[in-house]
Amino acid sequence: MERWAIPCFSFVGRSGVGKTTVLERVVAALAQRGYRVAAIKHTRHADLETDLPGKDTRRFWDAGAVQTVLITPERVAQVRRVAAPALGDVLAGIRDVDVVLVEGDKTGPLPKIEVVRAACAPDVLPDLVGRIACVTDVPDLSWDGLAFALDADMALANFIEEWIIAAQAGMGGWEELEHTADLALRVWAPDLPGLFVAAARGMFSLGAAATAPTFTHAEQVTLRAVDREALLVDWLNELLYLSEAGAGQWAYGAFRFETLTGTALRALALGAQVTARRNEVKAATFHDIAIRQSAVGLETTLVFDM
Amino acid sequence: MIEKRHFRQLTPYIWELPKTYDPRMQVPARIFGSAEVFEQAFGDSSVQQLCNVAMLPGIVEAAMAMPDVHEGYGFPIGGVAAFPADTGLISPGGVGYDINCGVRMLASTIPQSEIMPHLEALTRTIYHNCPSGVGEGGAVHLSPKALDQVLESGAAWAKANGYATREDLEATEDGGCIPGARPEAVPQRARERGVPQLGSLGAGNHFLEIDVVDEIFDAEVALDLGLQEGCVVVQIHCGSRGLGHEVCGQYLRRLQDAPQRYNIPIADRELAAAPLNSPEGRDYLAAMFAAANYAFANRQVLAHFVRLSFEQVLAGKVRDWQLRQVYDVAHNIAKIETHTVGGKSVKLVVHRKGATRAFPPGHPDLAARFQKTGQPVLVPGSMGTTSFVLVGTSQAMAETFGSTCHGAGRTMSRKAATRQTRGEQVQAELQRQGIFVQTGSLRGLAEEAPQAYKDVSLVVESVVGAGLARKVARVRPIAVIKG
Repeated sequence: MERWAIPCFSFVGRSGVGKTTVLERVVAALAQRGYRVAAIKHTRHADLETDLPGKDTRRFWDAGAVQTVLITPERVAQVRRVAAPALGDVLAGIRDVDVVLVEGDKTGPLPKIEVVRAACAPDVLPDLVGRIACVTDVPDLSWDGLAFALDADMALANFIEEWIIAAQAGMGGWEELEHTADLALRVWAPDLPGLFVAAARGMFSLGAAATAPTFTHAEQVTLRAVDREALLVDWLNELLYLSEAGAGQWAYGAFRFETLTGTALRALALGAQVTARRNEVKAATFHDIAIRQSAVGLETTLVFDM
Repeated sequence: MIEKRHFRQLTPYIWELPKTYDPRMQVPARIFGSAEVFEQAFGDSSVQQLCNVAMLPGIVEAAMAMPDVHEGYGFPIGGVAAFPADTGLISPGGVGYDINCGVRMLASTIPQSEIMPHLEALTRTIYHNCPSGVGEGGAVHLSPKALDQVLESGAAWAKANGYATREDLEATEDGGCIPGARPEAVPQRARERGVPQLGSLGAGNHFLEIDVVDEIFDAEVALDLGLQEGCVVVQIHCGSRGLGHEVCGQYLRRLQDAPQRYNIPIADRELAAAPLNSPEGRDYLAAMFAAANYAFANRQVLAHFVRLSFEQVLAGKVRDWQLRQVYDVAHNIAKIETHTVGGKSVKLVVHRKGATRAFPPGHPDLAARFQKTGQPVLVPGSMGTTSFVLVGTSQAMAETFGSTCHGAGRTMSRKAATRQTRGEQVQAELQRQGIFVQTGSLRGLAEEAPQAYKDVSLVVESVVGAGLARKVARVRPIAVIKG
């Protein structure tokens, strides 16, 4: 597996705040680093036209075509008439890109990066759900999470790039072990964050047979435990809880650790919707758990209650 | 590595690992079962897990394994362990994540021939009325206040809300309500998961099955229990759903430093334990009882919707579509019970992890109508195979703290099962045997394939041979519903 799913973020903010400008610069920075970026514009204007009047495809459309496609030697432009267009349906069909950046869709489920500009309104949007970061020129913004300066394009691009890398296969791995009643995994990775990632992915691979191609959900996880084994078990059980807690069922597969010591963890997890289930993982247990030093770095056994 | 030669055979059905095997063992470890069962126990890590339990401080008499023993996490499945209620330990791992996972049986007087023309419609109706599958919502959506009542009063809540009769409660272990449950000891997150899931089956090895009474071994007791040869019965196998998992997980977490604080050596972290008479021990017991009550209510609500389905499909088509409850047992639980140890009557915390209570005739905890028969014990076979109705014995009371087996017991890992067979094959094979299957997951079906389990007859012959229960009847499936 090359990648777990495609990270997907929406850039939101008040009208006129400059979302398009920020997004444009991020797309440019990522494209320059060789990443394939999909950029989606989400608008509420129903009468928006992309085909210019008088162009052939526009004439087909005006004549009543439900779909028009313009093919040139370098690109394909497709216009479809859809009764109730849903971003989710579009995302489910996205392939062959490294990241999807959406402009707009404040009320949708996607992890959000909010653009806040002092000249527009010096405060974050109230009641915004799913904010993971802000891009702003307001020095004392009432948001205690991650914030990037409005002109710090590289820092923001680095942040997105971290997620592109976090969504890739990684250095760790897992294999299923024989266990009579339940399921067990051997999990390994070069370091502790890698082990936590591999363990989570291994666990969700036991529960989910297939997941959507894009990460459309983010959750913050903050934990404390007596030692790193207990922290690992807590981490897995916390993710299991979160995977069931929302309306959909999520499989978390990309992670960014703000803190990960032997006894404390603070991380952001991206989840993809489970499209086919395999099993009900009830819990990660403490049975047989011991994080050991090995030739590849760290490894442990994990037994799950099924 | 523990080997067979380290054991000594006490009787044809009892095998003992003396405590001299390991200086950390507080008591011997005993396996109950035939030579074949004893042999099979060495196929995985069950015996080591049993030995780890025997190392727990204060454990009374022996760490015991029933004939359906197999590898679990912490305790082996099929494990029984008791500790003094005043000075002893309680271990969430000795109960497991699915608190009060159990089995309920409902009996009818409908002959198989009368139900066959309606079997498919009936199965589909039950599948529709009784939600199943991973994380699925239940048939009843509770308010947080109603959840408190469920946690406190279990099946009695169901009765107050029209889901149960007085006879149902009498035919449920502890009347479907364990006193001492404290809703406030249940963590918030467990409550959140409990609100939407009441009246749901879940996935994994949980199932709902329509069976026919195949053979009667004890006519008198069968008559008392309402079991008639050739007539249809229903089995419901499920537990406390996400609420129970969360109670176990949260308390295991809270107890991670308890062994150090209370100086309790443990061989496996899943065996984390605390004195029952400690704040965390008391809280866990009260929360675990609350989860157990939730499970009793869950099976009761499912029973109600099974009855409703029978009425919807069979009213006017068969003479009598009523379903009378045979019994409801818990097989993942710890309880405070009175037992005789060394000639003295003592209060114990008896942990049963994949084991069933099997109280004898005359036991004061049984309802009046079971005083003569003894407590019914429901032993489901693997999917698509026969199941048994047994009753408890005084020998079980004397030798295993009134406990017996809980099912067939796996012999093959889920991974091996899915390597050997596909869900479609299992479904086709069951259908060839005349068993109608309704499932949400074909892979789940493969993992629960009959060949992944011990033969339940072998397990039942062992408990009967060991005197831990008596056979009343055997039932065989005609329709299976799985999540």
